[in-house]
Amino acid sequence: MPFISKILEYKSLSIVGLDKNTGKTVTLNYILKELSKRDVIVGITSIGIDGEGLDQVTKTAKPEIIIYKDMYFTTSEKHYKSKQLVAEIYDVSSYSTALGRLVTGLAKNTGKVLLSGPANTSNLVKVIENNAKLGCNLTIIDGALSRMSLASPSITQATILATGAAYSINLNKLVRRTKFICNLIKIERVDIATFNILKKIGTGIWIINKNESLEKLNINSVFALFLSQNKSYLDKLKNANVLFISGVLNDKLLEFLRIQEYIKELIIVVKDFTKIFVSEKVYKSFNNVGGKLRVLYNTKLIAVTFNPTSPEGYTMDSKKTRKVLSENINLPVYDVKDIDV
Amino acid sequence: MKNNNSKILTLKKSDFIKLGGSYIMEQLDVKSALANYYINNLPFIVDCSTLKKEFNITERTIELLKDKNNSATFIKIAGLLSHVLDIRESINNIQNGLVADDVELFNIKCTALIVEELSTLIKDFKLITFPNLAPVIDILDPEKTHVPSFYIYNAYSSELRALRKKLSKAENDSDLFQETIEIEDKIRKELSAKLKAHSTNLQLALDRVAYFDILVAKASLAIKLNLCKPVISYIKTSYTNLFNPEIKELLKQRNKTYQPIDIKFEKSPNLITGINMGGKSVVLTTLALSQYLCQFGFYVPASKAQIALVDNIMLCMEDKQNYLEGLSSFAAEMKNVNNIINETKKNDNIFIFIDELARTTNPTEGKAIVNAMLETLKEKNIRSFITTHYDDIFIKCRRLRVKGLKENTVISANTSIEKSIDYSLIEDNGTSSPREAIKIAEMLGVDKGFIEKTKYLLKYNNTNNIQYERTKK
Repeated sequence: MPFISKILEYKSLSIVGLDKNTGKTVTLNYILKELSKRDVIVGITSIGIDGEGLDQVTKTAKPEIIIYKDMYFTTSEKHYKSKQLVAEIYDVSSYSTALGRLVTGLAKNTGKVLLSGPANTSNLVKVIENNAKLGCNLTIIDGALSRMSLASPSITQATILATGAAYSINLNKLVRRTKFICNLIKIERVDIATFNILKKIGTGIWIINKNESLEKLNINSVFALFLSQNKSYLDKLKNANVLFISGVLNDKLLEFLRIQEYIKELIIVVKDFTKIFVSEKVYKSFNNVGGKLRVLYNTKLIAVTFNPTSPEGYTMDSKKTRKVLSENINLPVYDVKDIDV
Repeated sequence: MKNNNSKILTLKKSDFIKLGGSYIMEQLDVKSALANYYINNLPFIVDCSTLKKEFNITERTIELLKDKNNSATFIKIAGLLSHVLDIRESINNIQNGLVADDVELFNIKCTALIVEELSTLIKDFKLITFPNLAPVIDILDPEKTHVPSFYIYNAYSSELRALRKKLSKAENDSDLFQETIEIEDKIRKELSAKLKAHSTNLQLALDRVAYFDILVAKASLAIKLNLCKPVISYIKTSYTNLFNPEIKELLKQRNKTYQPIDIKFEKSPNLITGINMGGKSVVLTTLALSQYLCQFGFYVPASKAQIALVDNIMLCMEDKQNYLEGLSSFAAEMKNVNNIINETKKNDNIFIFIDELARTTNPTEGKAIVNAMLETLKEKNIRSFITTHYDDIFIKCRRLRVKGLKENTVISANTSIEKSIDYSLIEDNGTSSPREAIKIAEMLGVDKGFIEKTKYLLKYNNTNNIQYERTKK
């Protein structure tokens, strides 16, 4: 059974898709089926309005999620009522989503459920905590389109990435994009000494100088770095070993740093990969000149799944694509329709 | 009677918020989602014995809160209360014969379990009793597990048990599933009907839980803000060390101290004069706020208080909302004045607060308006406070003046105004108002040339510009 035992090493797992219809739900159903055979208590939810009979964005048919006996699931009141199984209610949230309060139930038999969980990350964290109180060993979160942020290590410890023909049927394009996202997820953690210095910092932009003193730059985000009145801050980077950005890292800063003489001596640190908003091109040229980008916390990328069918009906050669993908990302890639192969 | 009272509050809620009631409500730390509804609908109590009871139970709660032996219990109470949801609608539906769904039944069961636990926890406190909800728990907990969870249990029907057993063997049999749903619906109907018999008790339990939540929050607030228990009197009201909690906190954050004031008054009009920045408006809002707090059953911000109850509180203060409604500040004020006069014709046991009446019009007519208002209030013996800067308010009434700038105050832009002013109120017999506006402007750091010009022109105030033009030449 591929990758299931790896999942069990973590308390929380997110499944994110490179795009809609990249086979996230099929992957989830597979994982749930495998987990149901093992002696673990599992909780499942999704982010936002996902798990509709029809996909919210592309209006294509979407598989429902099969919940097995003795699994906990969290979904909105509306979808709880339309569940096709017997379940015992264990919690009702005090807050409400667009589809009503969130209900956490324990499945008394196996059946289908439409999942629609919390719409924001802080409530997602609450669901994970609550599941732990109910005795869950693992909480799985079904992601949604462009909601990579839920794979943030501050929410889930491990991630499975679903990629597929829905993103592009052009093999090169698909491989390049998947590889890029995998590379971001796999960015190395900063060395332990630097980590210990930076871990307590909440907000702002900080530098560690060559004399090892920590200094806070008096600006809120990297966007402000390039305002003319903040020129002096950019000059300070010359004498820095580490630049720590608690917020978002953008293209402009990477482009600027790439052409500086001190680039090889500077380590840029961000909280986690979800804070990196840079294009593939810029990231590549930054790496080529020897730029060093590190994260404070990283997510374990457990596996990549591949859906060879696009919503328009095109089907890619599964075996060939997976081979190319696998060679490029150094991880096994599984076909969602046939994972056991 | 109760409805009538709540109506007053709904009308006056914006007044209470304007007076700084929002700060008090923010500080009020209620735990349950349920209590919010009740806080927004607090009755304005005019009945003396009800209020006395309310203050006594608050006093008892404060004693219990201060007793360190109880702290573990109060932490448990807070934990329980935080799980109480607002399920009034579900109870109402059941009362009206509607069928509750699983989420509603789950919520009712949880509430009943919490009430039962609260009941035992606070039994020895002897503050409040809750109705017995054991029959409700019996209905919703057929397996007697006492776990806060719910579904249509197999124990409700042997038919359902058999069907579910079949269903678990035959996955995805939609006909079979449909059959179980039909039986479940039948059971929900029966459960709802059974619960209907207990709906009055459930409603009462909700009222009591919310009341208890607010009571504990109120008592904690009294400790936190140093509030005192008011003594209810008939005519006289008096405060020792009256303070405005919000401003006190604000000053504390800036390392400044608040000067509390003592004040006594009866059922008659009071005129307050005093220098600019002397805290006249603060006196007005604090008095009105305290009256509201008292009649909502809260402790008041003073070290000692004796308060006469009123039937209604009316304000006439600057309100930015008027501009939005297309009224000039004078027009809005006059409409307000008219409301007040109409009210005085109906009831004389009301409390009126007017901040700088007719300040936006010419002084000659302004004075006449203030005099007329004072006379109207005097004729009816209306408990009221009016602040003014006008001289020649000759209608005889009680006059209070903010003491004002301390002796030996150096007038310069570097002097701290707060430290130079004595905010206490003194009886005043004259008819003139203090003249220290230019000094205050100077201390505020207004342009020196401008201040000099003002001082020079002050000399020609009572003559005319011909004389002034002559000296200029």
